[in-house]
Amino acid sequence: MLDSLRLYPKFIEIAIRSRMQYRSDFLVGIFGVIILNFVNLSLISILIGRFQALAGWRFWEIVMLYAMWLLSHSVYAVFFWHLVLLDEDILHGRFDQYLVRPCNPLIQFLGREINYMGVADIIFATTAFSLAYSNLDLRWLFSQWAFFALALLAGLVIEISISWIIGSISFWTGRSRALFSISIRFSVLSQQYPIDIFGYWYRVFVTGFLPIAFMNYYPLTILLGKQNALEIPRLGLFSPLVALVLLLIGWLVWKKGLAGYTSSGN
Amino acid sequence: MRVTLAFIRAAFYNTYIYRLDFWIRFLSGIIMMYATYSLWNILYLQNPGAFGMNRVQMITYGVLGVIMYPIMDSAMFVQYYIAEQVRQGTLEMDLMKPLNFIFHMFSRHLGILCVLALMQSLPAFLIAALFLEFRLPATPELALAFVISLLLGYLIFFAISLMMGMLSIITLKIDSFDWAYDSLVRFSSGQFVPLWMFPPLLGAIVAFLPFKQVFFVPMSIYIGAVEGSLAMLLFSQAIWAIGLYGVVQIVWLRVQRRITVQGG
Repeated sequence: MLDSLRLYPKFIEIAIRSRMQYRSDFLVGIFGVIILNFVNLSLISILIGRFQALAGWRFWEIVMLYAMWLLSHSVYAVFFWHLVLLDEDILHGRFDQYLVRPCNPLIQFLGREINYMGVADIIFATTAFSLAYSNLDLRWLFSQWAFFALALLAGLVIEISISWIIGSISFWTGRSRALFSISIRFSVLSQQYPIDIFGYWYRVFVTGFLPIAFMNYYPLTILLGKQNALEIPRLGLFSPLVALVLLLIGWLVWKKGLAGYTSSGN
Repeated sequence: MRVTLAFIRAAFYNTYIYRLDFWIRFLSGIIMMYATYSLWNILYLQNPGAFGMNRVQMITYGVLGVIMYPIMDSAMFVQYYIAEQVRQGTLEMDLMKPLNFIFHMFSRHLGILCVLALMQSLPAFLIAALFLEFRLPATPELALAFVISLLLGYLIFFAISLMMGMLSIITLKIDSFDWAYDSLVRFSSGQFVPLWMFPPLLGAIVAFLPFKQVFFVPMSIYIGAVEGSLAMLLFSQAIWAIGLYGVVQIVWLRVQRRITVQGG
């Protein structure tokens, strides 16, 4: 495993080079990042323009919610985004090639691609976060910054783990695109709006079943001194724990899937 | 016709193979309907004047957007399908088939449309009508106009998706763009937030895009929130559809000349 880990930077270097082949793709990708963020912020401002505040959340608070998610998501997008494509590798039997090489299959798979368009997201998220921070007149203490950093890391691990679990499920089902597109739809909804504006059962769903509310919503309610939608005090402190549990589940599902893997062959 | 039927049958078999996929889609549709329902409910209680329509109309609009999503989503499969064939270098298999490519794509995806419409949208529609405050169209005319408008919307979106797929033949990889494109579609089509809530400038921009014809037009017909005549709305949808298929033909002729088969 450690030997494989040392190979990872090498893989990434190769991935960057092969990506360079598709220059038009790079431009299209940057364009995509701009469109996506433009659309998301427009929706937020349209709703705010109509309703002043969404369930007590003001404009800059929602921008901060979004920026916080985008910060951890952008790192995910750069290095782990292709977990979405794991099912194709399995379905088309390409996964075999990772198994015949003397290197950890996970490292090989993760090192296969890099999605450096995510860098634009990082710039965008940092800008949005700074604007929100100054407009909300916040003055966080060191401990609050430390918690913020920990929450970002937890958010990253949560997103990676969810994708890892979904991707690994395709070891059994052969296809996981539907699951992905759905988890994306849910996270789009919950990462951009405070979950207070959705019904009670939806809040329970994104807390207990698909715990994406732990990525940004719960930690931020603590940092902004807000009551969270489930009215369980300090729920955001559990984010790192949720992240670790999910990572463990991801690892178990992956191991089990890998052990039972039979090539799809042809 | 025989070809089309064969594709429809194949699509149903496919759904049977990927049952888990089906159930996940179905359940998430239900959760989405519930989320949309409670969203507009909560916002309505917060500020009733901000909608320009009554609560039930607003809820019906929102829930309908979720119900229609699988139908329109099925058109997007053509885009993924072509992109996937290009990536694997198997597109030539489709080009060699003794079928017109566009007709072939249409038949193939008509099957997926049938599956998703009958097995996702229809049950969701029944559940919404039974358990949420989701109303049927006020008059039979509106209902009929809605069905026609829905079909036209599908044709328009299929043409757009076909074009996006053909674009992937030229650029080879457009994965990274898919998510952004998907959100642009949902935004500018009014699938989530109705277009009359948009500020004037933004509203004017999206009015020029074809996506409005896909969700917003059928949905506002359904809840009876239309300005001007129904016939005029349907007519402009038909014009969009005809125009887009004309463009598809032209794009296809140009793309065909540029195809290089990858790998060996």
